[in-house]
Amino acid sequence: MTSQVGKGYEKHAWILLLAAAIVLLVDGLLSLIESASPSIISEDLGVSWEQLVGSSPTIANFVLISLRAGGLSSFVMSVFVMSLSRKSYRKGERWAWYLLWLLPAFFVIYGLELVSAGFPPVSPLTVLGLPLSLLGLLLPYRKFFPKNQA
Amino acid sequence: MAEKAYAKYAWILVFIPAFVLFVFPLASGWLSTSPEPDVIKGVTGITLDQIGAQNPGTGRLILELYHEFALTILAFGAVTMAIAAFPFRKGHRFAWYASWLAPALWAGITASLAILNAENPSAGSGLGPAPVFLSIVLIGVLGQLLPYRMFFPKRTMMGATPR
Repeated sequence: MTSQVGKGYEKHAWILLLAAAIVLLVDGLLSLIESASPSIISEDLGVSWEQLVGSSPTIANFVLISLRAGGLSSFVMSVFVMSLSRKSYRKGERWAWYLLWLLPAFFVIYGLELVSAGFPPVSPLTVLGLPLSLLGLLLPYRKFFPKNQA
Repeated sequence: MAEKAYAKYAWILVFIPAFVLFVFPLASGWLSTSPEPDVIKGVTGITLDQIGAQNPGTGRLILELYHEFALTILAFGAVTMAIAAFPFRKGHRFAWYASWLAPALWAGITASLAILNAENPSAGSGLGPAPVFLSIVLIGVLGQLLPYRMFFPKRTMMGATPR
């Protein structure tokens, strides 16, 4: 019975990685939404969006470009991680297990970046993405590295 | 026989744009505290330090967005390299579809630079060598097209089974 449960969570752990990738996807979409309605980011900017556009239109334009670039790249990366977790990782290919450690590493470095930039490290990427990706990688450990049978 | 050889090694062409994506953020110093000073000055007219002096929040946000972008591109490059080296090389069809994203991203970067250069003629070539980026796009597209029949074999009398 225990082994059945073990097999079950090992079999379906890829869904946790998929969920972590969806968090990244949503984060990318939010950046794209913010670039479409930039007044949302006034709090992060320290001034209202209208003030920034009025005083420094080129800087405002650069912020928009950065938001779009970040949003698109997060979107694209999440699509890749989703396809990898659904195909190669689900099949138990060991290289995919090693590679997908990039995801929690990304979330940790992102959290550290937030701290170093003076923001609190609380974001959907660190609060949801990090635990989901760690669980998704650690739970099926034995599927990728089975114990040697006597 | 010759057809099989170029299809077999086309994954290397897919790997190249991914490798450049991986190296580019590191080589361009995107993760530093002063990423691409020429580009920022070319687009905004002032440096990131000056933006930060005028408005610390805006300077901080631009730096954070730059770093987030750099990390994503770096990770994306690593994932794309692995997809080229493993499932693409083995002929898995999902890898063929997914690998279109790397040349598409380079095409997007090239187009963005062309637009930025057109909007900011004073910045000149400081906004990136577009012909180099364009050749990366072409290498990636070639890598996708050459092994097309490996992923989508012609139907035989017995029928073909998709991988």
